Amino acid sequence: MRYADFYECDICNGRQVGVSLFVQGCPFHCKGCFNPETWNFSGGKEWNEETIENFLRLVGRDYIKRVSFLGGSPLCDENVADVRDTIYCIKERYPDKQIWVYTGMVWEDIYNSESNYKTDILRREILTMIDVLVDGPFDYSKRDITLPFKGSSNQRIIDVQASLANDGVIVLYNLEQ
Amino acid sequence: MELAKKIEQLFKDRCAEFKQEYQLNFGVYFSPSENLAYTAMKKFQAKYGRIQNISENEYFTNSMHVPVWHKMNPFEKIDIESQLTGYSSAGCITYVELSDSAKNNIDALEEIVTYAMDKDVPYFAINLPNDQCMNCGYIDEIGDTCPMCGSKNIQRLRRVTGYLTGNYTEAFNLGKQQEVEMRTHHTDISSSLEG
Repeated sequence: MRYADFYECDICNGRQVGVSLFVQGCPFHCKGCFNPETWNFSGGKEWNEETIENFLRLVGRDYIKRVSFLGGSPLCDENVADVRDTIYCIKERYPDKQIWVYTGMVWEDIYNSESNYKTDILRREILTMIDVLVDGPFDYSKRDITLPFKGSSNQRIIDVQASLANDGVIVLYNLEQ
Repeated sequence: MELAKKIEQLFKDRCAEFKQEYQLNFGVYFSPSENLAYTAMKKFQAKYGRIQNISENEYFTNSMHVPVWHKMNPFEKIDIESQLTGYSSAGCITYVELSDSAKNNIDALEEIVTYAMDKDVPYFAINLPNDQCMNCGYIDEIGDTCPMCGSKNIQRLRRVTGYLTGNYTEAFNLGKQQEVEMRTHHTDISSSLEG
């Protein structure tokens, strides 16, 4: 995997104070995308042992309560394995950190998939480890810059663990003001 | 940091001496010096010229503040400034600059304020860019044109040290205007994972 950018102190891509990792590469190419420079899978910088270690060290700081993965596309076939491994490391070292993942896919396509393709399995495994999924492609016709933590009104800020327990989507409604 | 503490201690000690000598209440005030920051720099430059890292800008940085252009997060800024606020007996302020997205993240605001209080910062402030479209009323950090209606009639409210100003490009002296221009946000900025 490659990554496009990193915010070591982020308050705009999720609740609380967090870090944000913008992975490189996205197959969706939504019209009006806020960072099309992240589309090309060979752009950005190398995500290697050194960057992962630096990343985890910065996640470990006491005042960091959350880690957000966005992009680019963290859950697309090309990136999902490395994102899964990174989330696994975070859960192991810092189980109390909240994890947010942004995806252009929709919840139902990930959750209801019964395929045994490795990438589908990895996406379902990620759901078991994270707290919030912001799902759906950016739809320019539904663009609304006043919405917190998302770009268009079709996207949902999903409480993942509640949704898994409920066997259906539960939205973090208190963010929808 | 040691040099900074030594300087602040000197001020503090002198105030204590004056107190004894005159039986009056002297104190160290970390002043915002809206005008002095600029006029004192003009005088300094006239006498000593422009010296790198000392007098290359149009203003002196106030009191014990981290210079506004230094990229660091709110917690790192509080860590530094909270070591110096204790030398002031007459007043001081520590502030951080956040991006407009803070309005959607009350949890983050609370955490930053609590952190400052835990570090014994006596007076803590958060600055947010507050631009308002005078056509449709939309409030945000706005570029040249309003993203809602396209108007270019934008009022730009900024906090320049202690004061809110409707238009900082006119209401303040040249030094303070430059200070506003040089500011960096302390959150949501690109940072390195290399090295």
